[in-house]
Amino acid sequence: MKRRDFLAGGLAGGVGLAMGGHARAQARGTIRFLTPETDPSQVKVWQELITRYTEANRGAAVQPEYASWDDLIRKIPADLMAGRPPEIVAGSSRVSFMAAAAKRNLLVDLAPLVDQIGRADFHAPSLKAWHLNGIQAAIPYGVQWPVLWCRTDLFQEAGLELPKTWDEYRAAAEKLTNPARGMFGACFPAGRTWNTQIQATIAIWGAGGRMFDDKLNPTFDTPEIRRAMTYYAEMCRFSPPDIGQYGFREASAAYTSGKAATTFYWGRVLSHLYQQAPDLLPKSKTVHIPHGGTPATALGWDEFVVYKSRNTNAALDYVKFMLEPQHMFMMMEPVIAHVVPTRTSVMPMVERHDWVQKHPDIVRPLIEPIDFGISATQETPDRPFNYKWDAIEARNIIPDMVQRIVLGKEPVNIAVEKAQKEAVDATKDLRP
Amino acid sequence: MSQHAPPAVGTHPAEDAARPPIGSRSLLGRLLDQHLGVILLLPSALTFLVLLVFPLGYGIYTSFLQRHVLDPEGVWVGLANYAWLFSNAEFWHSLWLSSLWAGVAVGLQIILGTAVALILHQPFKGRSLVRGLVLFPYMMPVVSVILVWMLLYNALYGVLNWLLVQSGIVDAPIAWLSQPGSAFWAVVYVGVWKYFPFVVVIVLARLQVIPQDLYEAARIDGAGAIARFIDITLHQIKDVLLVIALLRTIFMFNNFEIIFLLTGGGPLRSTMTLPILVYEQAFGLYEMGRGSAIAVVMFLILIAVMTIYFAFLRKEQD
Amino acid sequence: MLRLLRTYGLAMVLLTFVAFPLYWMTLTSLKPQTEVFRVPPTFLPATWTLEHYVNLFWLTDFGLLFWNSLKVCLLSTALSLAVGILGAYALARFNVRGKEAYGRLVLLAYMFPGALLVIPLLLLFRELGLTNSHLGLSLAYLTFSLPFVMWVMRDFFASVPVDLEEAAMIDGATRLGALWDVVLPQAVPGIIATGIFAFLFAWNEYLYALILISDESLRTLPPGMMRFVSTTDTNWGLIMAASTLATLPMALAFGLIQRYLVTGMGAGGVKG
Repeated sequence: MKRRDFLAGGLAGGVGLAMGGHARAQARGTIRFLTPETDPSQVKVWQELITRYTEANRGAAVQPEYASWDDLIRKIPADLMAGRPPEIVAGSSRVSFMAAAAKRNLLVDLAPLVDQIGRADFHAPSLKAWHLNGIQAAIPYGVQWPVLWCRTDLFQEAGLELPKTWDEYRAAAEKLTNPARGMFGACFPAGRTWNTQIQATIAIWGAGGRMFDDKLNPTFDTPEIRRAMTYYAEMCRFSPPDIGQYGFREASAAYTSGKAATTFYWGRVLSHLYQQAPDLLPKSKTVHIPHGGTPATALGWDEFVVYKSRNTNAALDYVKFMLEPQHMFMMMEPVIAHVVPTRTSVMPMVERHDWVQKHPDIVRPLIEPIDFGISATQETPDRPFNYKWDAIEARNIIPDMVQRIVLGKEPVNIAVEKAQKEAVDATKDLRP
Repeated sequence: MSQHAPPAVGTHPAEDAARPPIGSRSLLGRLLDQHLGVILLLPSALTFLVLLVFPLGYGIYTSFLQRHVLDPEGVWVGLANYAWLFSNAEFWHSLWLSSLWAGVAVGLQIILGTAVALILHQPFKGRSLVRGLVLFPYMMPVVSVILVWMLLYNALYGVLNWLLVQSGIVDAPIAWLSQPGSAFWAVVYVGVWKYFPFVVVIVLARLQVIPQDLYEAARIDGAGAIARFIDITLHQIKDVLLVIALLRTIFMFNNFEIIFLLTGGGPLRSTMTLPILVYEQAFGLYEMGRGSAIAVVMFLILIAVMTIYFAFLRKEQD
Repeated sequence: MLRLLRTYGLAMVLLTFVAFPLYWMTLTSLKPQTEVFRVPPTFLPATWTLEHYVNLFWLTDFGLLFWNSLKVCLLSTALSLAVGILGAYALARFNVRGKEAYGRLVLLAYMFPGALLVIPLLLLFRELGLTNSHLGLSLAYLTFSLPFVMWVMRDFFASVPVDLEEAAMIDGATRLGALWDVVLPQAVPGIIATGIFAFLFAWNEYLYALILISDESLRTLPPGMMRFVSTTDTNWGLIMAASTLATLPMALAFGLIQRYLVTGMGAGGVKG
């Protein structure tokens, strides 16, 4: 082959490749299923469900798409703009964004589907949390809250009880910290991340504080929040040195790598321990997050959202398929105890699971009902839905406050004052 | 993007030597030949027009608007975005950080790259293998580079900290990327590691064409090794170094990926360079207008540096 | 002798500096997950495993990401070579008015900050329906690969002796015929080297790939790989396996043209 022909062939080939792929991606009638739940074991389940569904329903096509949480926030608006939203989004939608989407009439009301399946089987408070602007904007399939993971062997060695209050926790963390041995008693995240926001929020609630008052005015500059942040900063001293970067994954890895004696995390750590450090399983226990007066933790959900599109009916059918008890159970199986199923009929399957049977001390705080879970958009039950919260999240106001205190050594009273000012600026022009 | 090989520098002695040929046959052929130069330039000119000039104009226009990413059109606000920019301490902080990052990273790349080129210019066994390996950081995808360094820098199970603690250099692991004091230097280190090979390649090529008799003559005149290095080697490569310095400064100034992916601009904005500030405004807060205004300021800085570069070229050619 | 020892010593230091991260990347990709966190770290895996590579293709969409990247990069390289070679040839051989100014504009274009272009390109491509399209992303890559190709190839053409073309044209070939039959075959090594660089830049590009594509089935490697880290798990073995595989195409390409790179590319790329 002459060099020239080689070149020409390469050119033609390159163009052909790109064109071919482009055409194929435009197939019609496909349900796009977008999820940030991308642990390989979870991906296996999504694929298995799709295989089963398409085998039972000839002609149906489901295309899974995986995105990180951070990408998801940017992706969905971009897709909406392009007029091609994913039909189904599974997991970790932000409540306040969904409220905005519901208001703009972008979402399918899922109430009829709930009724069809049987409303009585569903966890009513979870459904209520996603009843936004007059529609059932999403169907949660799992409800979750973080707990405190503790290394019982280290606590025992130091002659300590597992903590219930801030004072007990601080004393324990101090005693367990030994930087020279690479050992840390706590793991308070301080990255510019969602996890930092959640943990700081829990500390605020645990001190009896609220970020907004009943009229939805920001109230960051209060004695409760100052106390919470003071405590948070103190505990950061007993946390790994690189907490300035910590989000979800680092906070879990600090524990599973055996370097942190405690960490705030959801039930997912159980599966991480099975994969990465099975020797820590018998040495682990969970308790509810210690508090400075008021027990509190953050409620979160994994949920299905259906965006309006040409394929709405097909999408609803697939959601219904996934909500069938045995399929719902499949979805939670790889990370069992990470979420509590929102259907009563699924709970027995969870309880029969091998890991749940084997590690009651770990899973009990994760799956037994609690009455002190709080959601940031609904800090108390008797106030309106907080449409201003999204602006606080988008600007990272809380992680920035934590970083200023923890990494920048800014005095707490100045930091909360700044956060209050930022929150007021960010929300002053917003209307419900 | 923007971490590219250097474009060529210098004059083009062979150009224009070929005049349109005599004896083309058809009229069309003659016409084609006469205007061939323009015709051949057209596709590239069109591409630049659509993909660079128009977006540049549009970007400048957008910098005068207040425009949310979801808005179909923006609202004309005149110079408000620039007024906001210049009165904003965060902008000045980022401008300073960008300059520091470009200056320090390029300086270190040049020193290291030149030193390595000098080593690799010596004859020794296995030299070509080492020359090949040295290129690796440069050709490694940025994302791979970032991921590896995130693992290496880790404070709990990263091997760098383990080695440092074991050898007694530090008492406890250092959180390289998450302390305002060290994060900047940690990203600089990665920037230098990734891009110094580039300097090596170019300086090495230049070293290879230095006439050997210059060294011979100097030796006969009794010049020592250091004197020979300064008088001959450095003198011969200084123009190349200057060119590399300018081009790399621009590339590093524009660099987005390395810092964004390693630290995202944090902690506490300690690595928030201008490109990341653009990203934050435009895609984090959806303020297209403010983001564009920052980008336009970057462009003006670029023009200033390029003017120096072209002035230097002109001096060269004279 | 002493001098040689010193050279070898320095070369070893250099190799450690350069190669250690590469070594650690490959090593981690071959360790089981339970070994990654082990302290003291193992400098050779206690247990060798290929599970991460298997998982990469079975459980993640790495294969698709790789394929998408390949498509976009080949297309943008092909486009930039086709358009750029013509332009570079004209700049090297013809006496067109304003040529020097144009050459400078090309260099300026090459230095454009991506951060400046990405906002207007997003807005423009949205109007043209070029977001979420591999063609669109390839076109965006032309913003840096085309100026690069033009600038480098101009020098290559300038270094090809004019006599050959003139001889061909006296024999009756047209100008284009002479370009195709005489000049291009001479410049093939240069074209390949330039093409590999253009491919490299596109292969590494992150910002445009992140912003201009939002459909995950069209996603390319750089943002796709960052997604592996952004989830809840830190599966370093899997992540390092992905990093190793993403490095492979460039390692192969550079291996093939290495000799040419250091002498040819360096000398051709920067004179003066």
